[in-house]
Amino acid sequence: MRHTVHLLAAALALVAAGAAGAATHNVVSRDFVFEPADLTIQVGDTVTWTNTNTSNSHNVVANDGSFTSGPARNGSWTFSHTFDSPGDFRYFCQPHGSAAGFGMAGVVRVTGGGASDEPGNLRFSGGNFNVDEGGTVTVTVQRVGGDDGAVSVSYATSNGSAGGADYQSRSGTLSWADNDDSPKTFQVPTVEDNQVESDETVNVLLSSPGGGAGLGAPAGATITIRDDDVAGTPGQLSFAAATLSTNESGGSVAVVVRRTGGTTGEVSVRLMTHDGTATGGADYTHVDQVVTFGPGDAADKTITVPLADDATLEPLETFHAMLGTPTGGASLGEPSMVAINVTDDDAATGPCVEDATTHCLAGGRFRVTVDFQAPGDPAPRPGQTIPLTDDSGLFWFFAASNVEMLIKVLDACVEPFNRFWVFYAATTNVAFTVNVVDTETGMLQQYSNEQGQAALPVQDTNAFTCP
Amino acid sequence: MSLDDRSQRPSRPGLTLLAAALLAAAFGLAPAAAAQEVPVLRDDEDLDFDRPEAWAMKYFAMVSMASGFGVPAAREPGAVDFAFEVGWIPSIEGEDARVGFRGTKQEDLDKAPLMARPRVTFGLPASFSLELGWVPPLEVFDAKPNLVTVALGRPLFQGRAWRAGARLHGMTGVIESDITCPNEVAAAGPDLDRNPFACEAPSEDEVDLTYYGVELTAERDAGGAWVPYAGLGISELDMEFQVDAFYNGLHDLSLLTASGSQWHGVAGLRWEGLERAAVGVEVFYSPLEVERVAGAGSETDELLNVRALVSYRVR
Repeated sequence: MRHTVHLLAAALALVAAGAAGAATHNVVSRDFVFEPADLTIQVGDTVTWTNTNTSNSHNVVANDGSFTSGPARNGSWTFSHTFDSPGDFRYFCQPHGSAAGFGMAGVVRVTGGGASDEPGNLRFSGGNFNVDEGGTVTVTVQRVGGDDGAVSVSYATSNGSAGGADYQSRSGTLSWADNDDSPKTFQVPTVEDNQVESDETVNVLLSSPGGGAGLGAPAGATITIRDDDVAGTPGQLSFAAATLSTNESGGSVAVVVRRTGGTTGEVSVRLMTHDGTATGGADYTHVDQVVTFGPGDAADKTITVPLADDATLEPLETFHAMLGTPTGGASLGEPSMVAINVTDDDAATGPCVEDATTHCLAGGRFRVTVDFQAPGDPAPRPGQTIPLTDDSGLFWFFAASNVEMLIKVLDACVEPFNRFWVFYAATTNVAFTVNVVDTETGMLQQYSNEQGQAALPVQDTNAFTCP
Repeated sequence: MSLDDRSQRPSRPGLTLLAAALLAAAFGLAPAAAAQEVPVLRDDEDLDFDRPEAWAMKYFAMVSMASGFGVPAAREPGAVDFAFEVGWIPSIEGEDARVGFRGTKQEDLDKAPLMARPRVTFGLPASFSLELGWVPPLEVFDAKPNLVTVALGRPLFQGRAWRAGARLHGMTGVIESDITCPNEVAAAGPDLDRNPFACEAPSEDEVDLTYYGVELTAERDAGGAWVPYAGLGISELDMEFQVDAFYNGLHDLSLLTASGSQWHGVAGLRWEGLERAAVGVEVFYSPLEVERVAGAGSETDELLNVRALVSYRVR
């Protein structure tokens, strides 16, 4: 009798342990697919299929006839089946799937021998994981053959054909609780390098299983970093920017030529400068040179264009650099022309100081001077000021009683104008140049009159931009 | 909407079962297995216009659309033109043919490469013309169409070198074909590699195609034999696909319907070098929206085909 009681207790304990170790997994039939279509479970686990597609009739039919949910039905229904033996059990939806695995079909992979008192083995879900260069790969580790007790395993990456610059190394520990056989993951980021190269590999290894678990196969795997740079393409050559701005006193301007979209073979491109309002020889030094990229070379090339720094007051000037005649199969990309704006910084910024030849107008922001040259004068001479108001002033050339010009600079920085205006009227026919400098930006506007020409009035409502 | 009755349509599997029953009887076996009835599936569904199944129906509706080949001519009342149209049907293969069951089953949509249609046009008063067309029910390439088209056209503008006109047109009819279970697939029998859905007989599917719409065309007539033209049209499509297939132990009699508006454009060149005859060649374009993967959003998978028309004025 005592033995009988003990046996009964042991049997109940075993049943209880078995019940605790079994798990239920869910598969949803949604539209015309099963999710997940590929499910790995332990022997003794139960799979429950739930239909969420109420428009179409679905069912679950095992390829080998070992289970079926019955005739296809629409509306909400569930069907459960417990798998008592290991193996791959393929199934399909009779109206919408195929026993061959096409369409609405799935597989339940049952692993283990049904022992619920085994901690199981830890392994990668596959021997190879793929990722495009620059992406992040998720590596999955499975617990198979048992789920008894808490277990853990260490993982670490190491260089394969990929080096340390190609990915971010990772190491750590994955842990499972008792009865937990869900897959665990860790991520390995990779680095985009824009180099055309072959695919590279990173090794990942599982080690030091804890809690009585063993290492399953595969315990080592390879991450393949797929190179996404276009092989066999020489690429495109272009400037790095469509516009460059510099000060005349900078001495030079750096123009960057860039190679993108491929690095196959040696390629070159001709870089030439062209005058705009800036003149080669006077404002900058012409450049005409071939820029070469070697095979596999995607490094930016910098070409220096020398600038002439003179003491003459000049407005903003522009010249261009253009690319042409690409070789080695390369093509021109955009931008293939760069506009280089050179600001004259001879018109020094800083507070305007009124003197005998200088008006400070528009609240003192703008420095206004006039240089005139009468017939027979060997060089220009400065006009003399007669102050009027904060915005306007007079100039005389030959005698204070003989006023030549009234000039004003107005702040029209309000909608819809948003500009400083320069207006003047002159009662003269001698040659002159009016210089108006924005002392806050160094920008210069010049207005001229030719010798013998009756000066025309100027109404420049676009003279200077507002802050 | 479900498996609600039983079918015993005479078919190859039916004959096979009958033979099996006779054999079973001859050998003294119970005939129950041979006499089993086939469950019928009726999953009738009104499809979104961009479902892959609807895309396939739109494709065939638009490829069989009778375009005008230029501005409708102002014919004398009683004038009669005969014409013969040939249109190229671009093949639908690979992933494009994966339209069944919301894009999860590959269907055999690559049947006939060409479509031919005789047309006759009658001159009516007030510069109207009435055009009738018919794709007769001749079975070629495992497809039997029976499509009737009608159009009422009239020039609207007649300038020195430009003409413009409009056509109200429509089509109704059916295409019968073995789309769900192609003949060669069903013939593979239990070979799941070649017959993955266990088709038991060639299906007898029917596609009902109906549209009505308007087409506006303009053409330049500079006095020469060549007349270039271009046009735009919009149509209301009303389509049905009646499945009739035995597979996986089922008799699928589901009815899929889809309807919506679809526009198209044409551009072509007509040669009028002879007094009574003309030849036109045109490119037909229609942007067909489709959501290939559920939830992934619609994309345009357009129809672009070339058609030709030869016409002769009888009187």
